[in-house]
Amino acid sequence: MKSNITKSYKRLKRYFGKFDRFQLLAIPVLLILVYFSIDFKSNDINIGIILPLTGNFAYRTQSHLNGIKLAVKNINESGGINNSRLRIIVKDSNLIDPAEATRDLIYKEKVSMIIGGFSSEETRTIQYLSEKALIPFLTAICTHFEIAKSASYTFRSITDDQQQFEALSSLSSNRYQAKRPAIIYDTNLYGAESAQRYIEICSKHSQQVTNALSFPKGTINFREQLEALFKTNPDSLVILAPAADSALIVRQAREMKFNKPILGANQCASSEFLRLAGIYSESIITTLPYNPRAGGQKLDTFLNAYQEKYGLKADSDAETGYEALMIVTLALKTMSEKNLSLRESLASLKVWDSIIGSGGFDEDGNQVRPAEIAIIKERQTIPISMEELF
Amino acid sequence: MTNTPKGNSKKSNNINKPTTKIFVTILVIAILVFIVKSTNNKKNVNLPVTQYKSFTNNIETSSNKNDIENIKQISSDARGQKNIPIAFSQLIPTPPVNDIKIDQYKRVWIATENGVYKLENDEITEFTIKNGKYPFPQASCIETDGKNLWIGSLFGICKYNDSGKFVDQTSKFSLPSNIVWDIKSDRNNLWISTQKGVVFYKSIDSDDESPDYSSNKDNRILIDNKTTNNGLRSSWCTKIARYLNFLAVIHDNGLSVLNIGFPVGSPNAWKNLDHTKLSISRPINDMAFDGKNIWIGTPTGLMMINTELKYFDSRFSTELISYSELHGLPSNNINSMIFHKNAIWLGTNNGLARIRNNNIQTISDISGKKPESIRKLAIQGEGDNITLLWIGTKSGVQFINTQMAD
Repeated sequence: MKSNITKSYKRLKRYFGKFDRFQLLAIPVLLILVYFSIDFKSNDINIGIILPLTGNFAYRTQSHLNGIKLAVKNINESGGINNSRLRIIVKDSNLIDPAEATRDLIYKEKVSMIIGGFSSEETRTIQYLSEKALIPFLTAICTHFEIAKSASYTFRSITDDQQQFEALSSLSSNRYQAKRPAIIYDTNLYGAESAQRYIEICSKHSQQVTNALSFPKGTINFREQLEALFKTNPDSLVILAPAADSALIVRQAREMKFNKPILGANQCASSEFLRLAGIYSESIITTLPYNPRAGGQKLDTFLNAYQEKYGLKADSDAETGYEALMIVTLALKTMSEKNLSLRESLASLKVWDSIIGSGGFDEDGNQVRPAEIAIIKERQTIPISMEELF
Repeated sequence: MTNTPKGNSKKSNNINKPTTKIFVTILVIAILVFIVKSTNNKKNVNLPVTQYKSFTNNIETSSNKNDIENIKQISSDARGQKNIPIAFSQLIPTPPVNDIKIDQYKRVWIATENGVYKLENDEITEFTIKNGKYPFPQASCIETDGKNLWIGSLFGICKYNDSGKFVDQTSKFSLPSNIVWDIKSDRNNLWISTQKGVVFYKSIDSDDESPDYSSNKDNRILIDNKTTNNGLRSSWCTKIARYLNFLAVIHDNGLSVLNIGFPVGSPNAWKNLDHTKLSISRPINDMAFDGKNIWIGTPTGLMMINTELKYFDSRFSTELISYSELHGLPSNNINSMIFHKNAIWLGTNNGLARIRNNNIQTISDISGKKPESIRKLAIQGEGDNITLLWIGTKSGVQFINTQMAD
């Protein structure tokens, strides 16, 4: 053992004996210079994700995140973007204040952009901080009509409530001749602003809202609100509420023998709603942020890959999550090709083709894809345009 | 066989060795890379001080007297016109500007997305987390109470000290949130608006050289949605201001105004402009007071609350008078506002404008340069012969002499 060490020492001594003292001195100098010269920063492109991944909406946000993760995997496995890998940094806004989460992603993690937001308040918070810091922000799950309006760095790839409400009001007026809708809305996810917006849209379609009532978070018995609404003799009921609440409202309304059309925003198209409402979901009219059959073969490939990776059937939140990351990828590629900032590159995406069909950003950075209306038949959401096929 | 000195022989042999050549080549490359990197770093740190002229002593922003006369003539002709072209100073590059404040020593302090910058005697000093002179990665707002200079950041609050550094004071304040959006000093009191409410701190000793805003409960009042019994509609408070005997707070749900003669917990003491009820676009970006009325700037235009502030207690109504691009504003997106010389000056997404006697005038750069999106306005020398309006953008700061617009 000792002789081995001695041999090694002698060999090293013989080797370094070839150099004079200047050459030997050059080695540490060289190492120091190289250390300070090389940029040790990672070549990854960091993208921040902020979603309420625990709590009441976890079933939706986890699915959305899964879609994003699958897109990241596909991009990185196909060589990344200009030799850079995508890296996502995820913050659960149910565990950490969304403002703090946004702050930390921007100033500590130095992310290139942020994806996320769920409720209107949370999404506004992320938007406010991102706009101040000039960091692009994309939401693919929050549909509140105010988001991305008059904002420079905020984008939305899901069709917003404004377009969904327009489609819903127009259809109910034309198809069902519903001129006197009543509205029930939650104070948390949609809020009075959305109800007010729906009322404004109704007037465009010669509809007169008979009454609009709210309920606080945690309500399980809606009979008081429904009785008050039904006293005004509405010819339809519009529900602007989370999926679980919407299911309970539909159930209680039908139990109260309300047999007129019930319409709901896109929460009624979720698997959660269909599961909880059961047979009561039959004939409910709902909005869809996109036509689920518009993606064609691309969508089939995605659905198979999703099933393989997670052992689950992908829902619309997973699909919009996947699309969001693909839009970011497209923007990152365009950015380097055309020498643009990431914001400029995102704003330049007027048309794209994704797993959920074609889309694009308008001047505000909002999705131009029109909303779809669907009817629920045997616990399946069937786009009205394809109703005859079923 | 010729004898040669041993050392020389070894040296000449070594120089000719390929290993030596490789070493020397790598060394030279490394030195070059090092020099280039160092130069680049230096460029990022040092601002072009030469661009910054002695603004405090210079009335005009142009050095040529004829230019000045021409500009004055144009400005004079333009009086009552919709656009007034005047000379803007050269841009002093900084990171995106969040706030500008001029202290009692006429030093200009700039809060930016990358720390704080000070303009003093033709010199720019940088205070960043990188150079160790500032504790946070970002600065939101600045306030001076006459004795101290305070900086609010998304990471807390800090104070400028005699050693030329900012020192973190967050732990001393017991803030409801470290995300600080605005600070206002009111005689010897300090108002701090945060993500989770406004906190009022009363100075313990007003005659002290350095007022102590103790966070013990006798000197601290938390004003949020709960403590005001929903008088303050939201706790996420982005701007605060003291006008007459009122506290005005911009928050996520609109604007709330409190007569500070009443307890904060009395909901009736608060007057509110709600986004939902009045269809005011979110967010309200800034506000200003013209001595009679409060003005608010939103992403969809400018609005004046028709009820005079002094009548808020007796006959408050939510009637608003709106101004937009249709009325002549350069953009509907109003980011910053300031009242100066009987006019409300507006920093918009498309340059500078002012509204005076119900007339809107845009103020453009005589050089024809395209206006930038303005993030912050500040006045230096109010009431003095020379009054400068500082304009903060995402690329830096510049100023105009407001007399030239008259």
